[in-house]
Amino acid sequence: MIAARASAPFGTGWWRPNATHPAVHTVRIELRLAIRDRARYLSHLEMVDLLLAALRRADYGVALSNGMRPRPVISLALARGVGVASEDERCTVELVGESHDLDELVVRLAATCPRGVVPLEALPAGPKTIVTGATYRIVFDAPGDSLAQAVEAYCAATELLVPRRSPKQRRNVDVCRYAPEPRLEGDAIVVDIAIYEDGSAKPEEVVRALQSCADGDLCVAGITRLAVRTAPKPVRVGATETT
Amino acid sequence: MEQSILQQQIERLLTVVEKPSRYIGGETNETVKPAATVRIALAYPDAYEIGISNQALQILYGLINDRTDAAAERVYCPWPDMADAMRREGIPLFTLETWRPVREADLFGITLQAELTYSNVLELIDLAGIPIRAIDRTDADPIVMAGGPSASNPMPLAAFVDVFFMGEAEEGLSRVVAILDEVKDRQERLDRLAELPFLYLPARGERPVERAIFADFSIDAAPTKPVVPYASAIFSRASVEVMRGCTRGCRFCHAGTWYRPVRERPVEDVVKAGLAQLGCTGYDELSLTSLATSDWSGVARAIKEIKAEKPDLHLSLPSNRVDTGPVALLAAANSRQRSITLAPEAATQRMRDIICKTITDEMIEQAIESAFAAGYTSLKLYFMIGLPLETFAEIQGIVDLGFRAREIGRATLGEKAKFTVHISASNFVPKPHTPFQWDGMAPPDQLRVKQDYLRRALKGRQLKLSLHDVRTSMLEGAIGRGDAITGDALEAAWRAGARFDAWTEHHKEDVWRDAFSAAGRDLVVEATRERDPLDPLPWDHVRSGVSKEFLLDEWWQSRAERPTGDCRWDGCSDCGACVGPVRNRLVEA
Repeated sequence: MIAARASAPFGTGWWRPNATHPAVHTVRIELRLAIRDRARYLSHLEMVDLLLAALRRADYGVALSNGMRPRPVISLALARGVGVASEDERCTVELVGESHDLDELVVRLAATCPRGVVPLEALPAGPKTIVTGATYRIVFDAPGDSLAQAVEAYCAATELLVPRRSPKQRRNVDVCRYAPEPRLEGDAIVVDIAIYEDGSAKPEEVVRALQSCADGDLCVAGITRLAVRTAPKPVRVGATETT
Repeated sequence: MEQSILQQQIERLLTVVEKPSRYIGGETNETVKPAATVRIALAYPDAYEIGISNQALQILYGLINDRTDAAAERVYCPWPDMADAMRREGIPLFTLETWRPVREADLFGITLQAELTYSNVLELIDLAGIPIRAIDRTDADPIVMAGGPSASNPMPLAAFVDVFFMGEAEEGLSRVVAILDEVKDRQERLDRLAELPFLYLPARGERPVERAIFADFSIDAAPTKPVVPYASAIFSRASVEVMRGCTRGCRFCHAGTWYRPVRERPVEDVVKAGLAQLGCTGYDELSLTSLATSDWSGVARAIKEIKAEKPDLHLSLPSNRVDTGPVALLAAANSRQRSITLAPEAATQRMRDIICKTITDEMIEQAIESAFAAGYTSLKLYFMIGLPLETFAEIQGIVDLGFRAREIGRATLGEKAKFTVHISASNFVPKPHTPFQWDGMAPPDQLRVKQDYLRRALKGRQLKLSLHDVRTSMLEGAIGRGDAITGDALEAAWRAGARFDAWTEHHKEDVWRDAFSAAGRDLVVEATRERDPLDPLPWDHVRSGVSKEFLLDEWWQSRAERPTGDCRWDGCSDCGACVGPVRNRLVEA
């Protein structure tokens, strides 16, 4: 079990001039959850707040960050689009305490999570990682041959530009670069989407690209994230150049 | 419409509307009871994030679901994008718990917390597929019931609501549910409900209706497992109501009349309920609520006991008085709390005597100094402008007090310390059942001149000013004391697109002005018009418990610039609220 020292929780008066800084043992844990049913409509921030409250209800203390405005140390590995279900939601959280029974954590958390949020397992968090990609299953309300035709046309294309609008800019995303090979699996299309340093494609953008490749209408019935792929976070050594 | 088809249709909409979490339900502590024999849809006529934080609805939700025979499910007003999409797709208003149509419920209960939500009341009824006017409803429609503080003048909504519940619902609601369980025919149900003294059925004529008072005010009725909202709610905290009623007698205050007499909860009950709520909700903040929590006899002891159990807890005490507030706030202070609100309401002694706010300049200054000394770095001072008999000296008084507060802050915390004095000035809106019910609002031009002056004068480092929109205040004033004709204007405005009027971005001034004109009224005249004390008022048949003679006496006292004492400490003022077992009940400190 990994133990670390963190700042004291609120209420200990740490920010006051004569405050002391008591040591608090914490444990970094990686939670894996499934987000199903109506819970998939919760936003990223709502999910973080929901998990914090669920942990408090389960009687676990979440460690706080250092600095002027301490915040609970919790993060979700990969933001999930509103409406996308997930079978692999990863949450890293720092819990107060020297050690925790991880099986018990899952049981207690399952009892306090709201409908649709299902804790699957808890693991000791390893060294920090970066997310390199994710796999999604997209279910359509369309006949199988239409899907096969759309997948074939998609894979044959060298470039598929989908417009992306953000409050600050509009640009076209080439989804082929990030999701080159969607495949048909039963009545659904499964697609691996890579995440590079310069960005990625959203599953909804892959859907739009597939729709543009299809001869007929492809109505989406649901998107589920099946897996998240990670890699060790590269260690960067900064060189100082002097002249 | 078949249930599964409806659910699929709703899910399709959720992918295209803003904040779909408003409509999904499934929050921690929600109750789903598919086998219940009586289904009640409880609605808050505003967005989810406002409604989910409402304590009254949480109380009713808990009380109904505690019964074995009844199920309460929640409904909030869909945001315009969702409402438009629902109409386009033919999806009826549905409850959050089961996504079943509201129209299938036995009772559609709507809480009326503010007049600016009235257009949303019509929006909810229409979206549910229920005829807007009560007279057009059939046996297939649920009974539409409205309650809450704004129901104290039911007349603007009388044409649209089948039954009004007057007063506190904790005890009376169970009698309503029992009738719904016993009788299944709609007309027969209405006949039985008409027999209850606290229910007003507009279709049966204007008979006197008594306000229900929860004399016992036991902790058993407090919500034990409140629904925990998703992150977007305005308040995410546990809350325990520590006291109901206030006899300070502020002459503008509706709640000060409507919730008399004062009933306090014992400290041990409050502490136990607060800790239990924290455990089942996962909140890290507890609010002790009432009309003036610092007046609660047990406040200091409760804070001490709660802090002994949970030293890191963020304890919030809303609605603090200047004279008693600092004592409690100092006890509640901890490292997380930076802001404090004090409500002098008026800045000069003359105006405070007129409105019966029995505090002095010294008390205000002392409270400000205590707040800064306790470590608070954001001080909010709450005032009203446009009060009866107001002169420009009162507006200047607000400016002077703002600068004085800054001076005290600098003297206490240091010249260059980081702190803010936040002046909030709202517009006075006369309310029914108050001594100022006969007074008119200040004309809009006058209010704007006063607001402009405050904007110009209250500038500077460490000072902030916030003002209320004059347009929405005027509308509130025009509806709040309205009658049946106001209801016609309300319907016309809603049909022309008015909804979410409390939201500045959705408020349509011209629509409301035209709607009042079409009903033969002028909105501004309605809001600013003084009522003759000898003329009958539209809400005269609603008996709040406080006599009209007492209100008129208080109105005269305001003209004499004389405050009235608080009956808790200064002897009975004969307001009429105490009858039999219903009287002030204080706990030992």
